[in-house]
Amino acid sequence: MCVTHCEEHSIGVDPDLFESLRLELRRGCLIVAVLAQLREEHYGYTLRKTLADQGLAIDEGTLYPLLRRLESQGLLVSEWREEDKRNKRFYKLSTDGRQTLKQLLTEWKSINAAINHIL
Amino acid sequence: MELLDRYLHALKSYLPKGQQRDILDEISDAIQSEAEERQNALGRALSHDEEAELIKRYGHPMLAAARYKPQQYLIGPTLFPYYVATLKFAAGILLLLHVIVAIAMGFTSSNPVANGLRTLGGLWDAIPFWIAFITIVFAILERNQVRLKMFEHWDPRQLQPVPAPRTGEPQRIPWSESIVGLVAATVMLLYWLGVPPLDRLVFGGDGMSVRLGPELGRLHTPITMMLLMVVAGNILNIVRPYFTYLHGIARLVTDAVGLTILYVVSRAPKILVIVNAAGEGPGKYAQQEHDLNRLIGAILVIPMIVFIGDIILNVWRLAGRPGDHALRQTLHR
Repeated sequence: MCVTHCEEHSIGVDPDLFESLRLELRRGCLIVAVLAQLREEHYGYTLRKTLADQGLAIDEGTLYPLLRRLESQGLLVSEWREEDKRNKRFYKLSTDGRQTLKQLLTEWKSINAAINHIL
Repeated sequence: MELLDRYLHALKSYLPKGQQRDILDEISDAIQSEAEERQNALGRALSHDEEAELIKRYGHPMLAAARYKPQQYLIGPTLFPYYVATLKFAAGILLLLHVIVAIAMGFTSSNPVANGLRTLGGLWDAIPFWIAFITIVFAILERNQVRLKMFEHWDPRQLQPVPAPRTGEPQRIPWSESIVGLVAATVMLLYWLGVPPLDRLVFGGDGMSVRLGPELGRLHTPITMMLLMVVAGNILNIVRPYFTYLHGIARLVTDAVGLTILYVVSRAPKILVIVNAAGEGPGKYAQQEHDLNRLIGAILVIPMIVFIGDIILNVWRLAGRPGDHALRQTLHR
């Protein structure tokens, strides 16, 4: 009875609502993933590729502004350097960024364990 | 890549001034890196369409640039509840002030109802100004990251108690409301029908009395009908003391008729006249007659506001609030 009831509701879920909830869920996760990936130095394009190769695609319009924001918050440092005959902006974690990532990962593990337990 | 140049040119105009070069260089490099990689994979140059498809993924220049700006909203979620509360408070104050001024205008002008209504109409001019003003103030607070702490210190013990849960029955009309309404409407009806006659209100000692103005004679039947409707409505409320759809419609009709009659009365040059036994006058009482009519004209604004309020209340009741019942039931579990 309950299963039928729940299924009936899931059929009617508004796709826009789902998309909005999905984006909300991803927002915080992407920050953790970007910070974690930048324990090694990357420029924007290789960072995006690496994340995508590991199953976390992030679109261009989101990644570059996010990198700027994290840098302005002091979590990343960047420098322009020439590579492959072109200037590229390389990002990596700052000292504050490392500490913040450590705290975020602790929080992430705790949430992940709780969700797994609930599920 | 001509398309890339065009994209960067369009993007530049939307970017924050101090960061334009830096951001454009980075995006240019990202697009070129990806284009090169795809060219290497395909073994040929990208077509015009493929370039367009690649660039399109970076978003429309206006939206892409907007993501680099620090603030994407006028009033953020932290300040928004304060903003809404301020708008409601300001709307209440504005309404109150306009009602007070409308009544005051009624007492001081020669055409009290028209002037009173014009003053109330001024609300429509005042509201957009105050909405704009409050919005600008909150936008400035948001931009400066000001955090209000007005509601941070509160005590749950000071919250209002939850009202008693409603049953599935319609809302009950209080007996007191019906009885007071019936008595008031009956007295007015008797007075209107001449029991006791209105011209017993004698002025001075020389046989001058107060009578209805000639224009009001035409309204005799409509006013009688309306008062009869009010009496009947209150009797019905006593017999069947529940607010039903029929009750609501009947009250809306009565209120609308009452409001119309009051408006027509207020437009009459003379609502009451002072005459002698032969129906002549007002003679030396001209000033008193003038003052009396101004006073009545001003007082008429009050029942008109009451009628308007009752119409709004009845429309609200008829529209119903289906969520209320379920919410109260939940709170009382």
